[in-house]
Amino acid sequence: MRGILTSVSVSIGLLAGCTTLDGPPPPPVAQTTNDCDTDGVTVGTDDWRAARLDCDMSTIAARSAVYRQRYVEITGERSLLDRFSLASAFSLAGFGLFGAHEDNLRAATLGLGGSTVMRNGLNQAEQATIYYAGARSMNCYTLEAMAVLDGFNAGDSAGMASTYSSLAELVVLAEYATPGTPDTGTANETAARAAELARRDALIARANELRPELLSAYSALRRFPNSMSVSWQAADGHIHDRLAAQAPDIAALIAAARALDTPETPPPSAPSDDKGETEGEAGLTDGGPPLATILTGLASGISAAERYIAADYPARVTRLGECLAMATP
Amino acid sequence: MASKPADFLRPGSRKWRNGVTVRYGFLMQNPPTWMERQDIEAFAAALSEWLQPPCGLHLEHTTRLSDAQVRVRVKLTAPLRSRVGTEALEVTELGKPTVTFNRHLNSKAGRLMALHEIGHILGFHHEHQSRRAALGWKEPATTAHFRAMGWSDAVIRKNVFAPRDGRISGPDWDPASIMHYPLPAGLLTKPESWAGKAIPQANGISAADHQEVLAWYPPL
Repeated sequence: MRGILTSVSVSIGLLAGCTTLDGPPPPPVAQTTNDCDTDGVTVGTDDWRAARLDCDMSTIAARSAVYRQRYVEITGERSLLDRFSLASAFSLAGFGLFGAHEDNLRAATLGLGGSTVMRNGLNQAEQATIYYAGARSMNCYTLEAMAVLDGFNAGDSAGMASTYSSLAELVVLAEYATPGTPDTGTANETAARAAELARRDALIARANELRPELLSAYSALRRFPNSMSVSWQAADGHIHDRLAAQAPDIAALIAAARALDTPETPPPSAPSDDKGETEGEAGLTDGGPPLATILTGLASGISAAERYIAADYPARVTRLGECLAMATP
Repeated sequence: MASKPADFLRPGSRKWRNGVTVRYGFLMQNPPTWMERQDIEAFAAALSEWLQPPCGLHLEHTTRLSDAQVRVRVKLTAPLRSRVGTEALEVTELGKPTVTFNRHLNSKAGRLMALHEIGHILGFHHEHQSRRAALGWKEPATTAHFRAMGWSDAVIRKNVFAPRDGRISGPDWDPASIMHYPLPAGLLTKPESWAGKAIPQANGISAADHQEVLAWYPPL
């Protein structure tokens, strides 16, 4: 607290005697992902999504730096540089540090008071509040995007599509497969068969439970880059409008909110059939893979699905709304 | 190293030129599903059954379909089929398979199906269509048998009756060949010793099949 009070007093000292100042103009509106260099990457692929996300993250980092700088210029509170820095935010992986800052900001803005009015109609306290909101919002986007970019780099999108297809097929195969244990009526075999069928039913039930969640996670991961792009630009635009004391761009805010709720995308389908020459096989009559093999696959697919679902991609899309809200009063 | 289609051809035959390395890839999801991974392993296992002992032809798995002369697909709703030997080179669209399996390969029947289709990939025709075998058929009964499996008359002619080049080694006819269809009793009239007998499903590659591979593709 001592450090904060010191910095506040320095700020007041620097601004003493001024009632109307030329404040720094609002930073120009940020470049968008439309300016990203994604040459050589096929549009619509996971690589393209990851490239756009990566590009957005760079721009957001730059915006965050601008907001931090402006905040410090106004408040003189340089000790907050580290707190606002993206590197620090990444390492702490949370927003607790910003929560702790609320009191500091209040103290700083109280110290500045509302009497020092910039030519754009905002006093310093209001400007500091807006820059603070901008930095906090941009950091919020970065934290979510980091986790999602990690997911893309780890191949989560293709992995989820593959796992979803695996579970869908294995459930059907398991339902029709014959248990490996023959049903000869002996007590041991009857018990073993019942156990195998019980395991099959449990795995099928679990797979059916996970499939919609996995689809939702897959959809969230794939739409995150576009949702984030729309959302952070709306947030940035909103900060810009607040600094320029303009009414917010309601259309952009609505578009950002809608971007969080786009329809789910089904996994890619198999290649189309061809009409080539045939030279077939005839007379094979036995069934498919043994039930035990199928159950091994089901257990493996369930485990993979649980890992993907734990990454919580739908919640990350939802949190984009929270990041946007940070940029609004 | 062979790379152009012409490098793989053997004049007057659908067999591959001996000594080349034929690459095969799978039309699958990337990464493959669990069952697809099973199929890849089962296909490789069936292939190694064919190519042991080693011969002069090499088959190698690639994940780059643009490098693959043979493209394998498993699609349960598609007809089972395979191009024969170098016919695969005529399928130039990378998204199209040269061999399609209509069941998964990691089962007993799947293994036999893989062995049979790999025989086609190596350039072998059906054993029951061999000119050297010169089988005699009870055509109406045979046609009725295959029609009952949903086959059209054209497909039956193509896959059962149409004479094809026979083997260049071993016996004139090998009913134990993996390339022979299983047949119920009463469809054959020749050879007379087999009239009224059934041809059971082969349970693997026969000794004559191995002999024929080595005859076409002797180790270099």
